[in-house]
Amino acid sequence: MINDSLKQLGEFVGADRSYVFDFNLDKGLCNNTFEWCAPGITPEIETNQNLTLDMMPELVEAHLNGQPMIVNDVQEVEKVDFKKLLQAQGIKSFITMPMIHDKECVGFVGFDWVKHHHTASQKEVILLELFSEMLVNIRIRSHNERELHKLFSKTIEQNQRLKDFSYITSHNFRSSVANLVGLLTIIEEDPLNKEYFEMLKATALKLNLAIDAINDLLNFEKDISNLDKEEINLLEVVNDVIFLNRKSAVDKKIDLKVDIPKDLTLRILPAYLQSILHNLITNAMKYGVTESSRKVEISAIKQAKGVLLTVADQGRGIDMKRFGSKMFQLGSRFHPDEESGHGMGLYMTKQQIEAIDGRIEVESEQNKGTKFKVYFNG
Amino acid sequence: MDKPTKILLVDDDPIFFSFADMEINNVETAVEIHKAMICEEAIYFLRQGQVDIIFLDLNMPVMNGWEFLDALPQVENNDHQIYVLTSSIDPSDQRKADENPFVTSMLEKPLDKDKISKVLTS
Repeated sequence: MINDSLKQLGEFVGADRSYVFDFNLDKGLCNNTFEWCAPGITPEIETNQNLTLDMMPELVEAHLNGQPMIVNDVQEVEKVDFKKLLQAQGIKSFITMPMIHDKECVGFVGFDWVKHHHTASQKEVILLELFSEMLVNIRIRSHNERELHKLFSKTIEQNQRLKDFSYITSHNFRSSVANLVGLLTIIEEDPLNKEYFEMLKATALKLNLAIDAINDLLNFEKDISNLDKEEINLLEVVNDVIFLNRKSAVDKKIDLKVDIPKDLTLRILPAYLQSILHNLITNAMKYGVTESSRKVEISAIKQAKGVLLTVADQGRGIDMKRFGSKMFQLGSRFHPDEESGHGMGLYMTKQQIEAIDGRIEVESEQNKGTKFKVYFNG
Repeated sequence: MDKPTKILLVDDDPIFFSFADMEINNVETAVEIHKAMICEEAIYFLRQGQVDIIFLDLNMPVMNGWEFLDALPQVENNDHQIYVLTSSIDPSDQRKADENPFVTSMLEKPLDKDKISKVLTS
């Protein structure tokens, strides 16, 4: 829209170039943000980036005072390097007009004449003045639209999270509650059957786990900006997590291999690192182990921009073509066994990694295994 | 429908199987009850033979209940009634169930005697 207007006005007044510059008064710079050129005229928008305002005192002073700068012959420009810049761009005459927003000059609009000199008429100056007002309005509107759009995307994202959340709550909680109600009905009829009491207990425990998981989810939604980062030794945390899970590692005869340099450290939120490692390692121990393959490898290396952590198993793997996109979604589960989780582990892991500006990738092949790669910054 | 003799339960929850089994037998002893813990198993089972009634849980790992219903047309023997079971309170599930041509009706868990009697005598 701005480009179209530049073209129409440029053609109307017979200029060779028309353009918009934005001021960055804090940095003392200005940038050419839009440009139209008549046929055969060289564009200068790329040259006219980060020009210092010091270089063009006459123009800046006029515009900050709300005045146009009208130069019928470029020779009249006093500041030598400004004149040289203009001449280098073939400019013989030009008019620039300030763009005023909230009584402040935010930049300027202008016309150049390159092929021949041009004496500005009063009419042209008025036209340009109107045009600069219009441009300010357009840009305020598009800025507002962008803000609105940002807010809109954020709301959509939050809404999706709430949907996910209520899905988990309603399904995981209610399925356990449905089981409890069902079991109690049976027990009423057959009060001495011990088997049902065991099921009752298992169901209650499952419900309790689901509630814990929801608590985790709520906790991590808290603002992390006020939590403190610490310098943490990665190997120590990995060893802690392994120690906490030693029972299932021994029970399942898991062949754990850790390859992390002793002195590798990360600046990170300790709780997040622990939670991320816990999820990835226990996942590998739960789902990445089969009768014939019990290997779980945890390794890390320092990279140019941070640390790459890899957790790899040689278990059943996942059909990435079918399920790849579901991998990190809330509520996704891939393993039909007793140990099956709540579909929250990988979702939370990804959220936590992204909250600390990291990235997680997954490679998986059916019956070959799964490999999670986590890129930590810093 | 003739008196149903074969029932297939599709659910990933072993506790559900235990009491659904018992509750069905409380209502009607002359039925065969088959169980599948994942949808793939259920599809395989249906390719081998017919059943009269399927109780299908919606929320299952790998392939969920809806995906199972989508895969059903590939199964030739489909002369059965399907009851979708859910513990979810999501109204979109009810809508989807109403719209799905394979679904006879949607039932809320737990699957108790009353619900089973209604299904078996309908």
